[in-house]
Amino acid sequence: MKLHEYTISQLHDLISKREISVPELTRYMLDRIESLDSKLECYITVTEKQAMEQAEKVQKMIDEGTLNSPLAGIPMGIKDNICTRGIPTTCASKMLSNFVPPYDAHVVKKLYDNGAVLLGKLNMDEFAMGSSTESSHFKKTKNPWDTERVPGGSSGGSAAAVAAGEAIYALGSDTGGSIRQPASFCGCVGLKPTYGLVSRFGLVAYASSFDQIGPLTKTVTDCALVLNAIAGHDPMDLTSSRRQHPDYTKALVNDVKGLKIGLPREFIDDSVQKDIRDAVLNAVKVFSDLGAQCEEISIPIMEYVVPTYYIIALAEASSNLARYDGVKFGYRAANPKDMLDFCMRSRSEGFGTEVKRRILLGTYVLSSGYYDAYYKKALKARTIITREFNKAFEKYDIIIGPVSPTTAYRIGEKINDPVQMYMEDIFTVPVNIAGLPAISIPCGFDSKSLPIGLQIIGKRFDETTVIRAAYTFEQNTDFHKAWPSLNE
Amino acid sequence: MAITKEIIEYIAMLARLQLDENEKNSMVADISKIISYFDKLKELDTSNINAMEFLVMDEDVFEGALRDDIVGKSYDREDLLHPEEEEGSEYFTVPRVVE
Repeated sequence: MKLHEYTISQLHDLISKREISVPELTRYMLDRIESLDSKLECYITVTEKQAMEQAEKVQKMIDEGTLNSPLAGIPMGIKDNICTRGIPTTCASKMLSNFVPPYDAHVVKKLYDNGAVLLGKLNMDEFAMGSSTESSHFKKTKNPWDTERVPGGSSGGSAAAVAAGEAIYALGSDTGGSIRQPASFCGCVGLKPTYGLVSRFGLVAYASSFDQIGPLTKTVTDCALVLNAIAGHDPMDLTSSRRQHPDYTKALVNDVKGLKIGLPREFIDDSVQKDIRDAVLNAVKVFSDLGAQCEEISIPIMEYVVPTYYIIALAEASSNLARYDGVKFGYRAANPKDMLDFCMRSRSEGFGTEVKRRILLGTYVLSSGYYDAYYKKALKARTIITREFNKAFEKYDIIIGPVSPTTAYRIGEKINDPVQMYMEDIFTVPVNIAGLPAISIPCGFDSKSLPIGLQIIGKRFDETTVIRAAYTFEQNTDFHKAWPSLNE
Repeated sequence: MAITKEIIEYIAMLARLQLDENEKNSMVADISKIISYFDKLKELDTSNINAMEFLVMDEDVFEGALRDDIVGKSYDREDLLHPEEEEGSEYFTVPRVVE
């Protein structure tokens, strides 16, 4: 087994037993990025110098016995919309190509406190707006399972890096599926925590009532380890929960006996690729054989979740992205005639097409005459959708289904059909609408040997049950053990 | 209602975006399609339903979220200035707004 194939917990063992040093491991990972990333294009920025310095520092603390976190010395990558002090944070946009944050995001600080080693910043859709990482201003990340296909998005660089062993784990952000869908396309584990569990301080805002940061890892155990480190209250994020979070490694229990699982029939209808339906039904069988009680349920509101999500998300985005006017940070247009020209040209030259499209849509649904018909209406629909999911959770401990109706598609295949792209978010957006936690874990391969993800959705702040179910499935199946060949 | 070029121009002005003719035409086409898709929501009966302005928040979670007004740590001015400001500048520079 090669070093990049190890999990966080396995590497922690090797480091603790002095079988490998943190600088050796970090050097190995940087060399791997050097040799592989020209092909996969996961990273926007590789922080080689800082990584080696950090590695030396962490090794010293481990030797002195002052640092004993399971994440100590483990090399990782961070999505490029999460602020890192002194390291460019571009959001994969020309707009922020010159932005070097003066502070670390709360999650970054937490990871540093745990001795994490940052390898670099990972590619994404511009401002996290997209599901394929094709809208990045800088590069198109390739899916490690088939380099002619997209890695999913918007955290496509994070998922591809973890799947290809260019990072041991990564952080992503999930506004409407941006952690879970790329995790599913690339065959790794991706968790979107409950709204409020992880601070967004330092996450560049897209749609503030949906955005959450979460881990992308190789295994459910690693997911619990990273979640332990990043969860918890932060006074700098008003939506951050004050609730004490449990130790998520305590949820790594191989047992689902008596667990009540709902499978919405709307999640396995004809719109879903047959291989994916079969994989989800197989997962139901795995859980049933292990003693869980699985039942088909109905969530009829599903046909309205995508328009509801997009109306609210784009309205919030148009407001959040109003701050990019060239004044305090970001792209500045040259030789402006006056203030209005300065603002308009800085924005028009700095933003890409998808970002402009979403700002225009958001502005439209908030504009006088359309506010009630679209925005207000969507907020009411949000009430109904949240209520329906909460009602389902009165009877069931978790809800399962696919992450996406398709597996990874070809680069360029869908980029010109925005409606089609939006509609494929159908199984991930309700989770953000209702603020629930959900995980994507590998549950099979389609006829082209592309990974399929299983989505497990839980009650608010009940990551414990989500992790327990995911861990049990993983312990009783082998899908997570497969590696892309990468013609190495 | 149909999305016309005039509507796109008006919305673009509100959003402080300048679009060239090609962009305008493709936005008319794309945004029309997307808005008709959004129109599906009109079928949904939302009478007597309150709008969800905030995500449901458990009281115990957010209680005491307002902190005392205590001066906290700030940043160095240099770190906060735009990277294109001239060396030694203490301000953000913008085009003249008063004559």
